[in-house]
Amino acid sequence: MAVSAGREDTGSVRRGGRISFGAVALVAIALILQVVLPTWVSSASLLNLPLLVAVYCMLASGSVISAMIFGTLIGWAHDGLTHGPLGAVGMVYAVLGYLCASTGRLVRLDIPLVLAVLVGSLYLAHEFLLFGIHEYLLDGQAVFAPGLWLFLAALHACAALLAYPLFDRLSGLR
Amino acid sequence: MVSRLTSVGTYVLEVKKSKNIDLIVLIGLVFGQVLLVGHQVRANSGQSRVQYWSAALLIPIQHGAGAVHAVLDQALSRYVWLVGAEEEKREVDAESDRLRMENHFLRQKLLRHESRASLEAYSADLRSAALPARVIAHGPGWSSREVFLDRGRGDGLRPGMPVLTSDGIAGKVVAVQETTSAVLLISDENAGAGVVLGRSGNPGVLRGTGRRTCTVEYVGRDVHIVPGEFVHTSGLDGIYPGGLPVGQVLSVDTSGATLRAEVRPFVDLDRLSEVLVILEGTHEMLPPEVQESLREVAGARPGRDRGLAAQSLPTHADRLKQAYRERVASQGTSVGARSDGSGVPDLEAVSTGLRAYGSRAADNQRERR
Repeated sequence: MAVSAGREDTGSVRRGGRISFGAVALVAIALILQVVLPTWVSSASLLNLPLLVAVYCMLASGSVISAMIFGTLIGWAHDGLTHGPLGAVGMVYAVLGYLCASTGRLVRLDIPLVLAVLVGSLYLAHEFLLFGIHEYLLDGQAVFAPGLWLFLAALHACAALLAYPLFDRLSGLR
Repeated sequence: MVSRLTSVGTYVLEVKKSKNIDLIVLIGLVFGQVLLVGHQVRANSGQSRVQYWSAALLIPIQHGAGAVHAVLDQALSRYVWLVGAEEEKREVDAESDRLRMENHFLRQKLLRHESRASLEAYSADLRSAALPARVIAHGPGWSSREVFLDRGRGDGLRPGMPVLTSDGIAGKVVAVQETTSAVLLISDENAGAGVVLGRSGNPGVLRGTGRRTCTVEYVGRDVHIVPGEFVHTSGLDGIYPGGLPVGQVLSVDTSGATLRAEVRPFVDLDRLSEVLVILEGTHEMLPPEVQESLREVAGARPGRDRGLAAQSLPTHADRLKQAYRERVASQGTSVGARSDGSGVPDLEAVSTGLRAYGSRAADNQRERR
């Protein structure tokens, strides 16, 4: 994986702290797949592809502000595909953007275990934040399922370990 | 080395500054989206969450502002009220002073009325002919034992007439003007009266001390005087009719050749307002226990004047007056008037009677001895 700690370039995703067009296209594809895949494979809904893509992009981003704005936009796009109010997921992605960009500077992302733990933790944070927003800001019908969240966190960590080298490769094609 | 340290420091500062900006942006993004979400989501009341939150946020502020306003308004109104209250206080004080003064005058009036009513009732019970009078002035100086009455020669007052209240004797008239008269109180050093001790029945002489108390002097050492016993007039002095209350024994001084008792007058001599002037004195009945004592004294000492015990007999002064009247009547003249009607007593006209009475009294005294 080209994503690493410090201020080094990590491939096409990162361009001096700015989100490239490739990243946006990648997210768009992830969103479409997220909507389409479950119709063919029901278990595909367990994977949050936009989240995986967004985390990749935000980890690679050198600028925290860019990461937060990018995350917010992805969140809004995600909100647009659901019946929930605009901004609910956007908030979560903004926070994730902050966490990703801040943490990405401090840890070595080329170590798979570190990357897996980081992605798993970010997934858990994503679920906790969503639960909080649903519980306290929306209708309060969120389900608190920490066991399931842990399982999904592990699943997303594994998916990240598989997908992120692919993303690196895709970014290297350009 | 130094330049490296400087670059590291600059980097740290940049990172710190950058983190602060990142946090501010994050908070702004989250807050903005919270508002966005709140605007879209309806609360149970039908309002949007933003409206609900605004109300929830603003109502306490409004309450606080209202409370502050209320406090300020109250303070201001209190200040205004205080300004008005000061003026009101002045008016109330003035009214209070006026009412206090009015109350004082009314009290004085009531006291005078009560005193006069009491005196009138007492006067009706008195055997002696008495004339009510009002004290209009006190003698100058704090130690003065003299008062002035609103009755004078025109009202029939003469020097030597006893003055009393319903509590007891107060003094005697010493000087008479046409409409006023001066009274020497019994507490004056020059005042005196014949008295009798209530328990033992022994006579004595009451003298003023110049203070509020008097003394009873010339009481034999064999007499047992008990503090608290009453003292009455004896009628032997020719001024005060017998049987009038005088005072109460406070203490007894046995150091002299005779006993000397300190007596507190029944009459509050410092607060005399209404008095009775005895125009024609007649002895009053002494209390039964005093009469009993007097009888015992008279019985134990044969030869002493029993007139005291009898009480129905007149004093020497009365006898003298009676003889005076009889003599004047036998000569066909009236008491206290000249034959030419000028109103001034003509003592020469009754000198014979007086001399006769005097010689008879002297004979009686010689016989007693």
